[in-house]
Amino acid sequence: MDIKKSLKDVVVLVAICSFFAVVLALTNSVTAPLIEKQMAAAADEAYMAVMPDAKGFETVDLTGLTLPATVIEAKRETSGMGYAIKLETKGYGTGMILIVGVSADGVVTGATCVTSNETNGDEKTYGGNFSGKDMAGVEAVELIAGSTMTTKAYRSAVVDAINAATILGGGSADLRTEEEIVNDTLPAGEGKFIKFTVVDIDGNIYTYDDLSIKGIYEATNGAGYVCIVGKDYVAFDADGNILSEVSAENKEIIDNVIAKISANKLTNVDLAEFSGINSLITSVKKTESGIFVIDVNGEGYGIKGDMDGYTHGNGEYIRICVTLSAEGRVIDSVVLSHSETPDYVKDNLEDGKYNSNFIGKDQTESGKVNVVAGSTLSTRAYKQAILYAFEAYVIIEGGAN
Amino acid sequence: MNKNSKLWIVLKGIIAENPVLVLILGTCPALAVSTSIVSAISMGIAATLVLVCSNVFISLLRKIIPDTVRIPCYIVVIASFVTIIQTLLQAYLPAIYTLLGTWLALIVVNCIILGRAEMYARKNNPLDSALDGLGMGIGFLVALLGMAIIREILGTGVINLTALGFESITIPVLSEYNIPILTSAPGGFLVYGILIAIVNKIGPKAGSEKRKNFSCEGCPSASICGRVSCSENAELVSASENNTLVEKEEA
Repeated sequence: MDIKKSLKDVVVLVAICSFFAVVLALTNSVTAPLIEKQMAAAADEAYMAVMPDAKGFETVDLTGLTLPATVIEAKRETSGMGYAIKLETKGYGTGMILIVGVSADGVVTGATCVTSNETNGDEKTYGGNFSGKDMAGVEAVELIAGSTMTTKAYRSAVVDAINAATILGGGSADLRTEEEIVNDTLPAGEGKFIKFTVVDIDGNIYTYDDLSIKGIYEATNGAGYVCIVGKDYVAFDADGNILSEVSAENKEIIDNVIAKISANKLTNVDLAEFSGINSLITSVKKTESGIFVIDVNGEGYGIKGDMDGYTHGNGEYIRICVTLSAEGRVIDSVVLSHSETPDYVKDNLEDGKYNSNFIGKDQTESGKVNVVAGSTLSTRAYKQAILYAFEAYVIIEGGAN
Repeated sequence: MNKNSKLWIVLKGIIAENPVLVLILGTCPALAVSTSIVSAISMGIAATLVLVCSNVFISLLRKIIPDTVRIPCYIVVIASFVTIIQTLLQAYLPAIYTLLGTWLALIVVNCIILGRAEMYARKNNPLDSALDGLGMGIGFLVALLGMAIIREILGTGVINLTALGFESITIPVLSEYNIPILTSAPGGFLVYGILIAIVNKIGPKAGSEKRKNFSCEGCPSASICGRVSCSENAELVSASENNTLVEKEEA
């Protein structure tokens, strides 16, 4: 190896790099202030877009302030009109950055999406729905079907912006998440809650038609429930005793919820009294009104293996809970546990896509539901489990021996 | 025209050896940026500046830069000039900077620039290299502009001048009856292909003798090959190097 030649190569390369490093540094020193000014003006332009009457903005130092986690920057309008808040949230994709203008009295002056990675593009125009609305109006803005995750994140961010503006303006706002408020409302739940719409962990049924009910949380330790009605978080125990404050306007709704939950308490059915019930049925419970909740084991990939029968999962069933109405139609069904191949079942079974095919159907109609290609074993097991549940229902209802 | 004249050095880059339509170089930015007249002109000017500056600098250092590290050196030079132009645009013409977007930085990997540095600047004096860069740059701009005129006017019927701070120009009839596919990739390829065909047909090379160059000088493997790859063509290589090989091109 010719050392002198190699050395010359290195020296020339380093010399050229050094020369241009200096040139670039000089260029940068001249242009950097201009570029910075332009970027600030461009950023201000976005803020002006959400607060058109603003005279100017000054950045607020957020150090030491407790604000919603989505807030990344806040600017105070110089004449006291309010605040423009920059937030980063996550819809279907990550990195959705919004700027929301909020007036001094908590009304949204404008909302715009600066950058996003969403798929449908609805976030580019959704902001127009919030102008002129206060917190209640913002929370009432409807989501867009097909862009639920995007618009839900957007709406939630606008709520955060109003809360942030309130705090920055010297007021106070409840920044707790829904789950945190539920935990605080029923501390006896020890922080372990599940949200249910139809069937709870014990299979108790509740279906609610009142649209003011935003959700019901059940403490998994049996301590009780928290029902969200409008802005009220109301806790009550398993016996229906109300444990927290409830406003007069929501009292009747809460009483109805408690009554429905109580009326749908389940009692076990002794399977030994009936013959002909498939051995894969592990338990049957029934309400006074005739609703059945049936736990079934499905023989999917975990048990049967692949189509050639050579390989299979770890030998576990798909545990399914099926809820049938007194008239013999599917109210709901849910996977409790499985050892199926995650990639195949996630979209179909875990996210409830497949089970939605059975809702409202009777035994004959359920038998006609197709299995899903690519998850044949799993969905076939699911469908068979529902049919076994129907068989058990017929036997028990018919009192067959 | 005297092919040794300075004027010919410039002109050949525009017509006879147009980088986009004859040499088929720089097709990526050509297709991407030629959807709008303003962006085509902007890209053309930016590329021309980089070409001229890099050619001059490389020509000045042609006797100093060793063969073994010439490509990295060229890349450093080209990338530096691109960065300078990018920064200047961002500072003084932000609308154009935004319009060109990623394609501005990608001038670094534009084959035309590295190609001319390798094929011309390292073998010629700075003045000739600058003229070559100017000719090639103008040729690139002309090709892009030609494509952009067809694609924007026939494709949208509107000449978008908002990046320059002016109102867009709406062309009667075409604004209502246009060919939208021209603004997309398939349309771009179509326009590109048609322009190449036209240039091939009516270009100055048609019917003329063409010296076919098998010389090792133009071969990228020259320094490592030892003529092994060309052993089958040894006669052709020797004839070419002796300037005795001439092939008549079909009219």
